[in-house]
Amino acid sequence: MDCLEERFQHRLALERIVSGIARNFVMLENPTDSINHALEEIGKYSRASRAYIFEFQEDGIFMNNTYEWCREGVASEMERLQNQKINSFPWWMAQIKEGDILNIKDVSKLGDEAQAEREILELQSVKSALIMPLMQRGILNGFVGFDNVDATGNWHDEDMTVLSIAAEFFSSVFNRLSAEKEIHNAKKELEVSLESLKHLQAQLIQQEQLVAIGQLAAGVAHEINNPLGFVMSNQKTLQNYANILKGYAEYCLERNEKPALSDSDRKELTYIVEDLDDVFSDINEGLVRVKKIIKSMRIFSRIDRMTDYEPYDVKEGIENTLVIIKSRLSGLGALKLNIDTPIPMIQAYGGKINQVLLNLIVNALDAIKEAHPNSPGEGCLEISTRTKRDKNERKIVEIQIVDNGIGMTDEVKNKLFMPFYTTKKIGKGTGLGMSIVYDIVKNSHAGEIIVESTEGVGTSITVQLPVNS
Amino acid sequence: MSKVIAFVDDEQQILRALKRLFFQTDYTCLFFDKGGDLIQYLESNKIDILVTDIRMPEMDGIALMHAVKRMQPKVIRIALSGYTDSRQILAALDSGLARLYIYKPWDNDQLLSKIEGLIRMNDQLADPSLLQEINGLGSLPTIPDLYAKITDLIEKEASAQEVARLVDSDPAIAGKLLRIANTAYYGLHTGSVQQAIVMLGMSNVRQIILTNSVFERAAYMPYAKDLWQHASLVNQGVAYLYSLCYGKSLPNHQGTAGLMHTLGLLFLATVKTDLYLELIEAVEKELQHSQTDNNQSIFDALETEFLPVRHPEIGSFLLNWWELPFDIIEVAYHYREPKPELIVNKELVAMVHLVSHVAFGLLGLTQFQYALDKEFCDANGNLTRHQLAIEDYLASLLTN
Ligand SMILES: Nc1ncnc2c1ncn2[C@@H]1O[C@H](COP(=O)(O)OP(=O)(O)OP(=O)(O)O)[C@@H](O)[C@H]1O
Ligand SMILES: [Mg+2]
Repeated sequence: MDCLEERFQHRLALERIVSGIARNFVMLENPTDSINHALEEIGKYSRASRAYIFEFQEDGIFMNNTYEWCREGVASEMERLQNQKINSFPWWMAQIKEGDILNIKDVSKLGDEAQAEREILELQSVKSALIMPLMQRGILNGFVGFDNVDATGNWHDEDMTVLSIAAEFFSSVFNRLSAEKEIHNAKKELEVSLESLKHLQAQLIQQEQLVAIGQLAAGVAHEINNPLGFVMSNQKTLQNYANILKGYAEYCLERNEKPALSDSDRKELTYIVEDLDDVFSDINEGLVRVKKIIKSMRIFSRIDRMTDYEPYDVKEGIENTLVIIKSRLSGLGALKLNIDTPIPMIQAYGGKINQVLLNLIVNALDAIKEAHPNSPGEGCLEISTRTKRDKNERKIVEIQIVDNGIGMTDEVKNKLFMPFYTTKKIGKGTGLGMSIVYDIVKNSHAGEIIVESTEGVGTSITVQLPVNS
Repeated sequence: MSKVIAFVDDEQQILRALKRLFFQTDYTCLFFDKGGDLIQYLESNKIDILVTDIRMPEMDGIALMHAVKRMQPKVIRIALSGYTDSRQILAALDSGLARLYIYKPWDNDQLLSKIEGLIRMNDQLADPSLLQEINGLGSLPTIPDLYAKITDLIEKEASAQEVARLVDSDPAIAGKLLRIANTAYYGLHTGSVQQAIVMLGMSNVRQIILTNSVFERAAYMPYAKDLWQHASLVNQGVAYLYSLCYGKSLPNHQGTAGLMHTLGLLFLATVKTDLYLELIEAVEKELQHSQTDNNQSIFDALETEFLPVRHPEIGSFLLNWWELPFDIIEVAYHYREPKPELIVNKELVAMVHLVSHVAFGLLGLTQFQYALDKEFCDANGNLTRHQLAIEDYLASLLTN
């Protein structure tokens, strides 16, 4: 009876321990502590000398001793038991592989099939041991072990039901830990890729600006190459004229008389004399044109105006932008400028506003080109400005750009400001233009953008900029 | 009768500058500030040369060249534009719509000499006695259908993808193109037609298809394989030499100059096989007798004796007929005996002259060898200092 009573008490104590462990595991506030505590509880209960947990590494070849509890006076082995080969305990592993608990009641009685295990355990003077498998998704992923150096057969068969429940709790806690680790890793990965995405976007925006500048440069080169073409040619011609005239002058100086002119000489001289004024005025006009383009370009691309808030003249901005893309305007049927003067200067990042104007005008020209591919003369671009007050009574300057291009479908209208949204050919548009416009107007200047567009008819885009941001 | 040049530009000042430049020349010059006016003029008058700006309101230069080509196909079309890298203009050049592309600002003397050179070459190739000889040769290689379609696509500035789709529709050509791209000419490694097109450039793809029609017919002629290998080596060698000299890669529309320069030889081999074989035999006999240092142009001396027309002439005639860029035609005409006073793009001719000579030597094709004009090579790019490097480079291509 006594014995039975004792065994009943013993069992009750174990159940209490296991339910305590379970409670701890469910909360899992401090997993390491909970696990160590569980090892200690069961270890003490079973009068084990050492309780430990091995976790398999991802390679499935090695395992590490990751948790340990040692009775007073027993030395820690954890440090030594790292990177152990899993298959050095083949019999052991085979026993627990399916999720069963292995109860080695007497190490000395292990058969030949468990020779390796027996030798190692005897080397550590272990007399009996209990091994609980750690299962992850049905696969053995480690184990919890309790070694006893004092006595054999500490565990009773009826303990096994409770212990298997405990084993499940252990497994589940490790599952949860690894799941959390996975989530953590995934989150980290996500953060990293988000970071690089942001980086990429920043790079792309910069590239887009470079592309825009590149396109500008090509256009500007054309604008400059034309006047340069006739200036340089005329300059050579002039040199040629001068040589001919010099010939006559030298003749006069040497002989102190007028040369007799043949008919063709006379014709040539007459031509030169009549042409001289024109050559000079052509050269002059060409140089003035080059100077004007270069000045606009300098104003347009001043870097300091990207980073400083300063008074910005909208009219001048529009004019400079038009000079810069003049080459793309030729052939347009009509370019109407309704600039309602005087416009107040606005406080703005001048360089950025220029970029907004450029993007909007280029988009309008693209839309026109697409609508009238073979008859550019039908294209019409209208740029208007006006001053008014918005609904918050702020004084604003409005810039409206109207085109009779292809217009936008509802889908385009919805996605217009999305970065990378483009309907243009690969290599032509990056789809960043309008997102940059949005960023500059809304975020940098607290302004508004109003889009009105009808498919097949045209588009009007209005940018409102507060006079004092 | 003096040649008639029509200049079209929307800027009066440009027209005036050109007028001054051409005032003392023998050309009859016409000036139009609208393409439409020229079209009207052409209804009842003829011109020989068109020099046009590209970007103009109303009718642009590309449309104008198309219209002029339709009305008077023989007019030499030249673009004069301030755009240095417009795809449109390069496409016009690649498709043969424009024969020459002159940048603004131009150099007066160069503009004159380029136009002069172009006219002279055109006259030489339209010389009645040459035409008669060529007529006597029988059928000229016709332009493959595919070629016309590709030309069309290039003019429309189609993507490499679209061109690849077209080429893929003819598996025989697609296979050949890949083989050419991968081995014979460019040493690429790709199995994708589109990639080959991107890497070769569309104009070169077009020209390869064209040359192929000639090489195809010549495939079984004696020495055809050797000449093919020679052309391949020269093409790569010229690209290499160009980068050595100028530190950048050969402009795309000159990319097949080496490939094309002996085209006439292959053509003659197919249409006049007997005479061609007799010629080679005679050259070989002469070579044995004279024990020369392979620096003699025995071939050239005998070619006129045996064949009704010399291969540089027939080669450049074909290239001109197919509307290839002027630079390439000029190379085919002058590569053996360059006469500087007759050549516009002396640098390119000098490069092919040197590389082709080296390649004939390296391949042991002494029958076809010609004398190297070192003076010409050095006057146009200081080339002979690279001769050893070229030999090494070509030899390395051969061992690979
Ligand atoms: N004025 C307009 N008329 C018609 N459609 C327009 C107009 N402006 C923009 N869109 C449409 O909105 C799309 C996005 O414009 P966005 O400026 O952001 O990019 P993109 O012009 O395609 O390329 P990018 O400006 O980067 O070169 C365009 O592809 C076009 O379909
Ligand atoms: Mg845009």
